Amino acid sequence: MEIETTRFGRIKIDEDLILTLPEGILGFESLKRYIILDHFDRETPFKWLQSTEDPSLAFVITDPLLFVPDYTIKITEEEVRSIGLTDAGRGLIVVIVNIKRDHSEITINLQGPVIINAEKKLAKQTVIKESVYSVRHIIFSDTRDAVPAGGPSKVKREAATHPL
Amino acid sequence: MLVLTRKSGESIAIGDDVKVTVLEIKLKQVRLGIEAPQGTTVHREEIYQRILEENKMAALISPVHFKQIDDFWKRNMKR
Repeated sequence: MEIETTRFGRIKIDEDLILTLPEGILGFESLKRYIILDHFDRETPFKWLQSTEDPSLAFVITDPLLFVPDYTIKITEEEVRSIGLTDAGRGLIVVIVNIKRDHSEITINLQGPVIINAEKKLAKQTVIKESVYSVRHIIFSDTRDAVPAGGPSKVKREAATHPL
Repeated sequence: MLVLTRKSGESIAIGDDVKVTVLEIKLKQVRLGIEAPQGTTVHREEIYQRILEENKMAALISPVHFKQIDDFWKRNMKR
């Protein structure tokens, strides 16, 4: 089928890949159907989560483990069941990416991850309540400085050997 | 702001279909029971509000921002 999008124009999508979020995304509860769009550049770890119902609504998502290798979350039985998972370990976790208005920081929302049941095409944004994780976990800051969690010093050194 | 005093077991009604009942009062904590129609989202904590606001900001990201994000990644993470 084809859907209208504000950012990418009219695009063709595989209907079978549409994800249903029965509760929507917090703040956008009325919109329940999304499609994950790969960027044409397959090298990038970032993808779009595009609403199939509202052309203007899309989020950038990524794999949190790339930035926080030991990222672990606890979700309730009820949440696991609500997206048809029998085993929490089979859920895929993605997080929403944000960029500060002045473009000086790129953050990921580790406290509101989206859990996906890829098999049943069901997903849910969950809220991690008691958590060491931040809503705005900085993955890159400033334009010349890399601050990925996990191994800041190593990556910083690497970055320094490749001056911009 | 409307301020009401309720005892344990008493309720307040909001509109026709939302009812809040004080279930238990224990020291500094109050347990509330909320009856609302399906589809009404009840935000329990400040964290919901923070995530909601973060989502609203994140929804404004444009393809230009995407490129900036990806450029950050390519400069800093990839070899």
